Amino acid sequence: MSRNTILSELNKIISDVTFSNTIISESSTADDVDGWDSLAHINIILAIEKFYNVTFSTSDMLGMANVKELIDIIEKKINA
Amino acid sequence: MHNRHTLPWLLQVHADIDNQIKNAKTLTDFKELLKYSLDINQLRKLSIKIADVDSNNRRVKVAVLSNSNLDYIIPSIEASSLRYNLSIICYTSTYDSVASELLDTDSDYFKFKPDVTFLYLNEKFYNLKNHFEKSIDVDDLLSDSFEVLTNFVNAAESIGSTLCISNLSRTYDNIFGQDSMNFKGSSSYILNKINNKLNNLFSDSKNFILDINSLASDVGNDKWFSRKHWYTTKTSVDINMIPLFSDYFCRAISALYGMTKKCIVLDLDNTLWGGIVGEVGKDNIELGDGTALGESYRDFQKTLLDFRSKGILLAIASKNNFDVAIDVFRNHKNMIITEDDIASFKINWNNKAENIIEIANELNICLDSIIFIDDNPAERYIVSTNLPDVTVLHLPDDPVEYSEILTDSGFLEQLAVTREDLKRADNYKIDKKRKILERSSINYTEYLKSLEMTLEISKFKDSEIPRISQLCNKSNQFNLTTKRYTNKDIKSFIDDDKFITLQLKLKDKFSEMGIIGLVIGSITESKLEIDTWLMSCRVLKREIEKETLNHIIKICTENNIKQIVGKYFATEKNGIVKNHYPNLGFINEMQHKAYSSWDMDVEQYKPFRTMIDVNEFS
Repeated sequence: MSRNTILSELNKIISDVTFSNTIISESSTADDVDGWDSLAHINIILAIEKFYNVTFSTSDMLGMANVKELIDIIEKKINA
Repeated sequence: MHNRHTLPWLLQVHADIDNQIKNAKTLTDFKELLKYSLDINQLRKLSIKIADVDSNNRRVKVAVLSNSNLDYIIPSIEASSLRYNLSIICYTSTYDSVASELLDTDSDYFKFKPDVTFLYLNEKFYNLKNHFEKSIDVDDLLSDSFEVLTNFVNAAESIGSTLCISNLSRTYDNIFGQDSMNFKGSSSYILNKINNKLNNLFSDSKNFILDINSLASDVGNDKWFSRKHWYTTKTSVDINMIPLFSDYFCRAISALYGMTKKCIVLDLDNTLWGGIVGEVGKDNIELGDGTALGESYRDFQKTLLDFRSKGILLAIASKNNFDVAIDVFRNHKNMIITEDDIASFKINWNNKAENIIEIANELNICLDSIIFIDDNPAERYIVSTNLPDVTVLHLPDDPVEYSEILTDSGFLEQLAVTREDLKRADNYKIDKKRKILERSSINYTEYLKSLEMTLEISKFKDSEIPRISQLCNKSNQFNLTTKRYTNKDIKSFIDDDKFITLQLKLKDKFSEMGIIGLVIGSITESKLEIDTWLMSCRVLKREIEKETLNHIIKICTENNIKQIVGKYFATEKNGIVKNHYPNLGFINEMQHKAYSSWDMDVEQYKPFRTMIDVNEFS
């Protein structure tokens, strides 16, 4: 699965949870998206876990700095 | 495999569900969506939409107070409440402010005036940990936290709020392993003690325990509690368990308000026994000892019979030849459920939706108090779409799971089983005998006379408060004003001499029916206003209301009351009492579409004569 596919899927998931219309790119951070607060963060993680059927560890959940790192984590898990 | 946290008794979601949630607008849309097992994000999205829509559901204000994070739980509770025809509105304060909310009467908690206070306290509240001291007195160890807890209970009671408190499930590492119950200082030993003390504290009050310990152990403690979610969010439960948690809470609230299902409507072939009796014949159906499926059908019948003993009615809606199917009830040696256990049989080739409507009419119950069980998905679909108020159990493919699914669904959950509940199913059997007598009587007066009825009228008794508030909360049809009251409200009517209260107990030659009717009236100077007048539908057309009015008039005369005012508030369900007051000779005072008011001049009243013997007590 290409990083672009993952990015477009993440756009869908994140806007679904946050109700935000902001288009995210790899360099986006949570601060760039309306409604992506700490509460929504966990909801986004749960939605991602369900969608890709993967499990995030505690440091996965808390450690990512931007969308690029989020995609790195997902890529690693689905290719594992 | 039965995974309880996926709520397998509900429809499982399809690919289009998120779009449906996006497009949902009306209450009907939301209720339809809640027939599915939704995840936490889906419930949260619905909760936002639901807040903007008015509903005629019962509104229940719930204050949720906790020493852990509730942000993920609240929206889910509010959305799930629609599944039980409730509209729960939650108040919650910042994390870990339980004491300041409950002990400061100026707090927002007191301003919110919750109907229910849900105290969701985890083990940190009790300071649970392993103790290695040589001698340890566990009661002494817990005395401080239980003293604080008692203050919380008093605070909730001071504003008439029903308290619901969660007990504890295991969330720690059990370093004692198999020795934990022998070692008196172990967390497991102390946790057990806490749960027992909670049971004792709440055993005979109107407050109740949300049994998280049982739920968590049924799901599996490993699955129930997530250390990852605890450390990252301070939520006391795995966030993926929240849909189940919320449903579990809402079903307790629905039981608190007496909204539990009253009747199970059952299919026969491949539901109560294996095989199609019309094809294989009575002797070849699978039921009873000898085969795996035969035994599981037998055990499912046993479970159904246990529910019947708790007061749930059983009825049959089956597409079958009547003679062939009834022969199984009469002559199959392995049948556990007998003909007498069934309150209504509809065995024919008609549409099942029609049959269910007929059952509801015959038993005088509403469609929303029925749960329908059928192995055939097509029949379930027909009933679910034609009768959206009927609860349709999503049955698994494997019959060995039927019993578990029905029980775990919680649709039949009751908080306190009353004496009347235990007798209810038999009452319907006796009603059948009355019908036979009615048919053999020359005329209706003759029939009423032959019933040999005795009515006992008295003030509300303290010992009957649970049954009285249950009637207030459950009665929909013969109910003039449909006002709902808690135990506490009932007690305040008893203690206030500005109110008159009447409880009516009926017995006849077939049975003692217990309390079947209530009246609450308020006195202002020489006027009595009837606040509540309700009766169980089982005793319609027995002239009870005439004797009740005779008695009310007597009280008025004794207390120098000149005028009685009765009101009728129309609801979807109480059409049968639209003409209650005019039929009793009241004069119309005001008439609106949904509301009418009626007057009776006490001095002009001529007592009714009936076939009922009346015993009056003050």
